[in-house]
Amino acid sequence: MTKLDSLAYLKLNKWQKFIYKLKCFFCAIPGWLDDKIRYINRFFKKLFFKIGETFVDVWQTFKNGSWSTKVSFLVMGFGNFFHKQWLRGLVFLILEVVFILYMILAGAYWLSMFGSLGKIETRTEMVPSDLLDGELVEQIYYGDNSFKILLYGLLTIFFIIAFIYTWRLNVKQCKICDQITRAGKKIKSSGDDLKSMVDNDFHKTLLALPVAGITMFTVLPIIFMILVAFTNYDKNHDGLMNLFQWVGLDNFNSVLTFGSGMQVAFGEILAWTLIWAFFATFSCYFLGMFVAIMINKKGIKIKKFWRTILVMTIAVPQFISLLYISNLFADNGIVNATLMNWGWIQSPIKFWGDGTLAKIMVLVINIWVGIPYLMLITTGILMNIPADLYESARIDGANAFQQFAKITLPYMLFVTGPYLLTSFVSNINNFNVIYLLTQGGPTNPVWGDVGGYVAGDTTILITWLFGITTGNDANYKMASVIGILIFIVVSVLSLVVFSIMPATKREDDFS
Amino acid sequence: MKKVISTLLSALMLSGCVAGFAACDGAPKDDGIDAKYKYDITVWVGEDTSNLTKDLITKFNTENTNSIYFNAKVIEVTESKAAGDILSKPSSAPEIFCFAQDQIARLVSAGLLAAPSASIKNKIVETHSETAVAAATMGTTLYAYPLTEDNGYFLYYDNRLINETQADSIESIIEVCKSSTTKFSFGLNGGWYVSSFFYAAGAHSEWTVDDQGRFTDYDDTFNSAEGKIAAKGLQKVLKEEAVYSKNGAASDFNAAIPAAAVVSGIWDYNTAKNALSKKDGEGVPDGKGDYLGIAKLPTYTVDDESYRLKSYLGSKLLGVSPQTNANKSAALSILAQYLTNAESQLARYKAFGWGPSAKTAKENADVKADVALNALKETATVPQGQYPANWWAKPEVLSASLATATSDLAIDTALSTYAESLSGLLD
Repeated sequence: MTKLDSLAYLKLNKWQKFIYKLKCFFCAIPGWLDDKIRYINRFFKKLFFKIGETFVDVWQTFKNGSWSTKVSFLVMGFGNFFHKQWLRGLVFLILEVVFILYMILAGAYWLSMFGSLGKIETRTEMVPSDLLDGELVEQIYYGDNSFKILLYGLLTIFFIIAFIYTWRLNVKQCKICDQITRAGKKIKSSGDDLKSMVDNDFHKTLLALPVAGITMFTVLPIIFMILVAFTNYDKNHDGLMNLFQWVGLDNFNSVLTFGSGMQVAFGEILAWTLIWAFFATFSCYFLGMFVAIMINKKGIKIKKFWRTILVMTIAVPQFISLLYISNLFADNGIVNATLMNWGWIQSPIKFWGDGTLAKIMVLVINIWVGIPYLMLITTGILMNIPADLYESARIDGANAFQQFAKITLPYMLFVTGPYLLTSFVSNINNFNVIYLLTQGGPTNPVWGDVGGYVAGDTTILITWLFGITTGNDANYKMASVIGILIFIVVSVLSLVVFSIMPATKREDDFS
Repeated sequence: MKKVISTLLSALMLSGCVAGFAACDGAPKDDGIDAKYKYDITVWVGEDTSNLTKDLITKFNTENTNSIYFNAKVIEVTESKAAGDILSKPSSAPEIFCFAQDQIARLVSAGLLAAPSASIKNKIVETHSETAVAAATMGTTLYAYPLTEDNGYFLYYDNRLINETQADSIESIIEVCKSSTTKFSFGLNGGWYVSSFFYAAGAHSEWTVDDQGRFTDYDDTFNSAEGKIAAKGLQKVLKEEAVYSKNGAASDFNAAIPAAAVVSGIWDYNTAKNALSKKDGEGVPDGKGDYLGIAKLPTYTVDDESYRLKSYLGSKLLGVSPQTNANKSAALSILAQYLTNAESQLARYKAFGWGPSAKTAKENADVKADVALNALKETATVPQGQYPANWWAKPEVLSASLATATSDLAIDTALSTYAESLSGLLD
């Protein structure tokens, strides 16, 4: 595609400009993809190079190191002891001993089972009981526990990685000690180490606990959940009474195989999730902004009163207001009763019974819940827009809409771009509004009944995930797959939008 | 100074964690009771029933049957949720738990129910009704202890609006609802209620299950001439604006557009009674239920022919989880049997109105005179056998299809889609 220069571009009419921009966008995609692939390629090259470098360094350290360094390769901390760094040496030694003991006592078992996720099945036998004068009673003999094997196996792998890192640190320390000794300088004593822990290395002291906590309670569970997607963990394979196993990509196959029940449901729910997230985000955004502009307008009286009224919806917990509204609009709820009393309708409107109406209802109610937040956010930003911009626009003869489109909106989009993105992502996972209002209903008879749960017209991915996990099939494996797919959708969208967002590109332009 | 404070805070956090983990160690307390078989157990029972269960266990302990003593922690968990909770975490299953009959297949196939020994099984079979024993049986193995035999539904109505004759047919009920701007509340979005139309027309759905809780075969005639009659009747009702089909709860008598009639079960008796009672000047009901009418399920009419709705008759069951110690297993079995015997069931009837399954308790004068139980007895004539857990969603989906179907062909399609979906439920 030939790129037009500025002059040629300006000569185009409105439509031609639009088509030109569209062409530019699509032609840029291969280049963008190529760029990303190159980036990934570079990253892996760098990674392998780094690993190779580490091996060479370890070998060099061994070859050129003193005898104490060489011993340290086997007995961690020996080099430090040799150089009278008692504290470091002791820590290394203790870590090695603990690691070896853990591996012998438990780690080796968990690791050896990790490949199969358990071999011995739980069984029951009829055993005589003295209590019933020797009558046979069922007694259970527990076998392996797949759930524990997966969890502790993963933990063991974490420990091994941590141990390798510590061992590498130990080798590095010895190398540094060797170098310092050769240079004839003084090596840090244990006292110096202790002092540095509350001085130079104070950040390490403070961060040690949070990092360990995040690894144990956030990183480990996330990886565990991801691994579940590659097993057959569900009601028939709970891990304890019936073992579960690795099944490779089978679960992904059933969601992604074209035409399968799961795939159809996933496609329908994903489409509605994206539509929901789009409208939920932008309707709140523009209407919130509109309300804020209205309230900020000169001549509007008792501004604080209007703001307070809107903020009241924030004051009541969302959980309560949503449940209340769900009942309000029920077939036999107050809204229908009132409309019928007034004679406006003859029979109740099925707000939650009709798929399309239910979708419109959740969007409208979400606007009611969301506007106050947007109003608060945008009020501040609106006040910051220089008044002289509007003044000069008025002098140039711009009408109210032109002022909004050319001054307010670009300014707002620039400042709130990242907020819009996060709001879109949180709407994709907006469990509360959907579940408390409709529980995902009304039931969709065409594609809803899959995975041990009946999805409905307003079901979004996150409520579907909840449904199939807590449903009859306790379908953890599919829930995990859906979780991963939600992550992929969200991260791809976020990356693309973030990379084209003006706020991240032209920071200097902001004025 | 800041660093010192930060360090101290870190140390505090660490010690907090350690203390927290240490606190998790809950060793059983020794309360000085001398019994040969003494166990700490957890018991899950239905809502509001923990106090009565505690009393019954205390009584069991005092009687000191076979020198057994239980130190029991009684927790209330809704019967319909209990099985799901246990299945999701089998390692922490309670020793004894109460659950709804439709959950038994899932529990058995997961190996989470210990079958009682031969002598106890015989006692249960002898003392409980056939329907209740069948509810607790998979194939030929008895897996649970029947707690009630009252899981069914009948008609509650407002006798100021509907008279006895009108309560006999859906059409007249709907007629009254239309003229009085009230609703007929019937949970036709759930498989359990939807089936009543099919059983009324003579269709049925029966499933064969083996001793391990696996469904091996089925005999289902919902997609038949009778089934089509039911589907037509159901569709007619679903399309009526006066029918509120999202729920079926007695609280609908108090809704903004109040119900004139509600299809619900024993569990709603008190709510219905309160809702349809005389109120004093401040609007407080006297709880006598003067305006409450109770009747068997009504009929529906298709092509000038009337069909009487039939409810399932199901049970609440008590289950014992498998134990690693044969004596504990036997002791739990004895307790479970005690908690479900005629005497305990009568205590439960007196406290909550739960219909007993034990033969002698059924003969009790109060039980026999109970209006709600009698209505149930008349109308709940379909023993709720065993169904795959996912079967219940099929009539629900069928009902959703019928609600939107506009032609005869669409009804046929909905029925055949239902029939085709069944084979997927076999194990």
